[in-house]
Amino acid sequence: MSELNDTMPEKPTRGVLREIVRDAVIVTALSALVAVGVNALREEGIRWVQQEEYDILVPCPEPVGEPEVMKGDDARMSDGKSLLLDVRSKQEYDAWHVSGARSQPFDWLGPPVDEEVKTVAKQVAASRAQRVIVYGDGDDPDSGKEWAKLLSGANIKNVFYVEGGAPSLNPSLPKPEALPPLDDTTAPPIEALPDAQSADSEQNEKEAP
Amino acid sequence: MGSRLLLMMALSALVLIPRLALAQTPACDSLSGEKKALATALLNEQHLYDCCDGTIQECLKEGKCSLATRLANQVCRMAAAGKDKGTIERALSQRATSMMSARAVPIDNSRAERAGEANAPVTLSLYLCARCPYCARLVPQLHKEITEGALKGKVKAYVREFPIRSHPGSTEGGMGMVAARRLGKGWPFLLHLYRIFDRFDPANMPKCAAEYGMDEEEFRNLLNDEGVRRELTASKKEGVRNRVDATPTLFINGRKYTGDLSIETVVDVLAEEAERVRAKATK
Repeated sequence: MSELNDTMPEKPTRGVLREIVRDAVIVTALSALVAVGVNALREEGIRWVQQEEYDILVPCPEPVGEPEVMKGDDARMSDGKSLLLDVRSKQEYDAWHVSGARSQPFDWLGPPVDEEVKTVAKQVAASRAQRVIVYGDGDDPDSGKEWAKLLSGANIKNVFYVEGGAPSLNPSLPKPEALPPLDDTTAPPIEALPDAQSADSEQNEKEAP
Repeated sequence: MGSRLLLMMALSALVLIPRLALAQTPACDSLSGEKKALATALLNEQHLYDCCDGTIQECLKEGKCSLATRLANQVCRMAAAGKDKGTIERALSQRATSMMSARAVPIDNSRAERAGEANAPVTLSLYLCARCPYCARLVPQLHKEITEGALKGKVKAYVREFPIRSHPGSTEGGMGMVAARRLGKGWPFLLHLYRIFDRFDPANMPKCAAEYGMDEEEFRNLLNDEGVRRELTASKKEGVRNRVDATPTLFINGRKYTGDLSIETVVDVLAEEAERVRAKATK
């Protein structure tokens, strides 16, 4: 036991501790002095005071991701494991939509994407779907693709859009070119367009070809 | 003694050669140290995309192409700003693509309000969001250059509204932009929105419109007008069709510009385009 005590280091006294602290302060101060000296000698040394406004401005991106594309005749459209979203107007949805698709009209101007994504995220969770398939008007640009990009940008996984939109699913639908252009201010507001079918969507459901 | 002398000479050469080799342009003259070395290396490696086949440095020595001076200045400006080699190379490559090989796309400026002189050879179309901080910084400077600065008589600019969905108030701001444009005060109102960027409140827009000589009630009605909304939607859709995915996005004579968006480079690129168009017209 006494041998063990001999090999144990002695407890540092207060004087030794003071010396350690003093040496540490000296080393730190000398290092700082050297650093300041080197910085002063460097042509592009760091400035003591920032003279220009710190600028971190960057161009503002749309919050979009990269969804996957799908053909209209893809078997996953009808395998029961997909949440189908029809993002055309309610009138167009009521006139025809893919069986089982939900109406989620897309507005190019908003509301803020966060609110809409929350709604879709809830639908995905409730349906236990493995993927989200979006189809839109098939126009250029296609509302379905745009919606899918926004969903992907909000970190919803396995988002697909149907290439060509609703006209590729139902060839009898009018092609986008035949619709009045949105920038035509003489066009009647969408509410005034003749409503081809009643709001009872179940009666109007047709299977995708 | 001899080896020490050789070492000294080698060190001197290392320091002096880059200094002698660096292009004599205003932006490059102010460089020193590592930044100067980086700029020198790039000027000796990068080639012009038009006018001259050599490197920027070689073309500068020939002195026949103003593009060499423009690119040298961009390299040195970016080096001075602390950009790394890869970033500068990418910016030069994007500038080349934008100026030479990008495809011109259709942009409907027929309803947009013009800034700049009608006979200016360059048409600049700007996709902007009322609530984009970068736009708020760049656009007023650019407008000043076009109306009274280096780009006067060279560039005419048109605004296309492109509200970014993640910006609160962007749709309201966009409606305000279209409404003011319909009342003939699009540019003053947009510049005002950018001036008061941090204090923006959609509810205050009609009062601001009145300050710029617009009828407050008429402006208020337009903010709720379905036609204005459709016009804003059309502008946004046109932007998406033209692969706009951020603001500001600039189209120079219909070609998408994807290069450096600092005001100095943008002004320089527009001046370059004006020079090119005028040279083609005189041929």
